[in-house]
Amino acid sequence: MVKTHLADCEQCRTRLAELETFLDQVQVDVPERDAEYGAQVWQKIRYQLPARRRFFQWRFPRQWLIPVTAMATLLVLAFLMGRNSTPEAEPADLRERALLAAIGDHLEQTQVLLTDVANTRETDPYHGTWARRLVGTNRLVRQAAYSHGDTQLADFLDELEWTLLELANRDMDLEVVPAYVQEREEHKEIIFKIRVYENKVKKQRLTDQI
Amino acid sequence: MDGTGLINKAKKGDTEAFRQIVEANSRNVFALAFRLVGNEHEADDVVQETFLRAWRQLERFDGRSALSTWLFRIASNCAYDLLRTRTRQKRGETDSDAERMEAVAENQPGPERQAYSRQVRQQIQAELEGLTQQERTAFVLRHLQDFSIKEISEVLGTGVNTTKQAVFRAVRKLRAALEPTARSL
Repeated sequence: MVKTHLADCEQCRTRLAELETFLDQVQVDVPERDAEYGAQVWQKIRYQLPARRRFFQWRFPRQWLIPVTAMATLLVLAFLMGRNSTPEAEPADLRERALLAAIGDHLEQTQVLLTDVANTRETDPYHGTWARRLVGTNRLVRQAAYSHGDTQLADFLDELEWTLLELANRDMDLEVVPAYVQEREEHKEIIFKIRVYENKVKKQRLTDQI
Repeated sequence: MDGTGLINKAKKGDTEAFRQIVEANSRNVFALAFRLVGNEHEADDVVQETFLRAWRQLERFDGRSALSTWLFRIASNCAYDLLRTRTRQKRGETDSDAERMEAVAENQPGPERQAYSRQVRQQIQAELEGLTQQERTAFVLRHLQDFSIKEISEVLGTGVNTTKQAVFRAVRKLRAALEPTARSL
C-alpha cells in the first residue's frame, strides 16, 4: 500500500528521499572489534561473576523451603541458646549479643524495604539506594554469621543478598510486568522468612537478657 | 550448542557455557553500545556490565525472545544508566554542544572540515542523549542496526504500535535538531 502510494505521490517520494538522505547523514561508524574481542571481554569479567545460587532452587521443592528453613533455624537457635546457658557473661557472649542485635536490626530494615517494594506498583529509585546500603550491611552480618559458625543463618543472608542486589539494580533494569509481579511474590516469601528469623533472634535476645 | 542449551547450562552455574555466550555476542553488543553512548571506551564498559548483569539475571530469561534480543535489552539499560550518570556530571557546564560546534564552524573553515565533522557527530550524540531511552534505542536499532519493528518491540518489551511511534518520534526530534546542520555539510 505504501509503495503504491509512493508511486503516485511526488510529494511523499520527495519527503522519503529527504528522510533517507538525513538518515544516511546521521549514520555512525562503529569502531572495529576483532574476532578476539569476545575472549577479551570474558577475561575481564570472568573473575567478577558471582557464584550462582542453586541450593534453594533445586535441592528442595519450593513449598518445603519455609518449613525446612524454620526447622533448621530452631535447631541453630537451640544450639546457640544451649551455649548461652553459662551463668556469667563472657566476652564470647557479648560478641554473640552484639551479633544478634546487628542481625535483628538488619532483618528489620530489610523487612521494611521488601514490604514497601511488595506494596509498590512502580519502580522507586529510592528502593535501589536503600537496597544498596543494605547490601553492605548484609555482607558484614553474613560474614559474622559464618565466622560464628551459624551457617544456616549465613546461607539465608546469602539468599537475602541476591534479593537486595536485584533490588539495588532494579532502577537500572527495564522490567517487564510479569517478572515484576513474580518478583513481588518472591519478596513476600522472603519477608515471611525474615519474620521467622527476626522472631527467633528477638526471643534469643530476651533469653540472653534473662 | 544452540543459545537455549547454553543458557540452560549457564543457569546451572556452568561458566564455560556462559563464556561461549559472551564470546559469541560481545561484538554485536559492542556495536549497539557504541551507537547508544557514542564513545568507544564507555561502550566497552557497557559490554562488560551487560554480561555481568546477564549472569545475575539468567533466571529471568525465559526463552520467549532470542538470546541476542535479551542481551540487547540489558545493554540498552546499561547504556541508559551510563548516559544518566554522564548527564548528571555534565550539569553545570555552560557551553552547549551546539555552541561548541558553531564555534568550530566559524573559526576553523576549509582544512578543518574533519574536525567540524567530528563536532557534528558529537552533536548527533548529544541529540541522541536528549531522546528518551525508548526513543533512542528504537531509533538506533531501526536505522543504525537495521532491526525490524518486531525485533525492536522484543528488545523494548513494547507493542508494535508503541515501537513504531517511538521510532517516529525519535526521527522527528532528530530531524528538527539536526537538519540545519546536516544541510550545511
